[in-house]
Amino acid sequence: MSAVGPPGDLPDFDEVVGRDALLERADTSLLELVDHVLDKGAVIEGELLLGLADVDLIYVRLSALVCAAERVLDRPSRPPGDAP
Amino acid sequence: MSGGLWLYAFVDDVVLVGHDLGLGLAGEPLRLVAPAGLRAVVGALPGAPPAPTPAALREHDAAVRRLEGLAGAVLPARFGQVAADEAALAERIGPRVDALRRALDLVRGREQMTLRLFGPLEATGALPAADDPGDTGLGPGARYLARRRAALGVPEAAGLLEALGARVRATRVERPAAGAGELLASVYHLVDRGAADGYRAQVEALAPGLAPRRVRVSGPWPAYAFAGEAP
Repeated sequence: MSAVGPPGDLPDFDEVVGRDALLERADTSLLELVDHVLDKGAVIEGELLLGLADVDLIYVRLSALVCAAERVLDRPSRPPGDAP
Repeated sequence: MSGGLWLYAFVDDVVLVGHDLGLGLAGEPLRLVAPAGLRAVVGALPGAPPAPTPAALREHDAAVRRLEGLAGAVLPARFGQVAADEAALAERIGPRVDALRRALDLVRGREQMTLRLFGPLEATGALPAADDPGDTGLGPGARYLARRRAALGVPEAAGLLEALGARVRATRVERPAAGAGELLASVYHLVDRGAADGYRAQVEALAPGLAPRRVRVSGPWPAYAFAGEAP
């Protein structure tokens, strides 16, 4: 995947998070990774690779996918507690 | 052609000065720099900044985690913080030096645990609506304040959070935007390093009492949620 340019040049959601793989694994670790590493942490002034609104959108969609995956697969996601 | 300096974390109380900091997400050697009187760990990118793929996010997080064994205070940087060079980095953080120092003081010797509270939306209990007199007997101003307090706290898990209180040094709470499924709230707790196992055991012991709501715990994490100003 090519590097991201200015904030207007955004990666495709499916390329970034692999929707099908997420549903198969019901993996909450990616959700945790996105929330912590991509949406939190110290910010320096200047352009970000992704605008905050775009990160929020990814996080919201991931949250919905994880909840849906739990229902469809009728089992909880991978045991919590372990960082990726 | 260099892609600039990728910021991994601000650090303090570096206990292993001169120690190999390892490699960053692009395979670049990490090094310690001193922008605006602070200390930061950066890597010189060999080319364009990497895209936020899951693998890249994991590599960034892994690099930050390695620093926790080398410094007493580690304030993680968000993925994607790039400066042209050390001078540019110093210029960008200059206005925020005091805030960054306070954040470093807060996270010194600590790490983060994260709780996710899930549940059916109808089980949250209705907060007083602004235009619904309900049975609360509260006036419109008091109802507004009640809603604000409820939004900032997590009344759905009040018992759990109160029980964890002795282990917690700082808290951040987030309510998700609409469309996040059954995720009701995210609670970020700052705890002393080494306290994660006891924290998790307590959460798992108390989780059944939250039914029909569910709680998921993850961590320990570097203190990502405590890198900004307190609300």
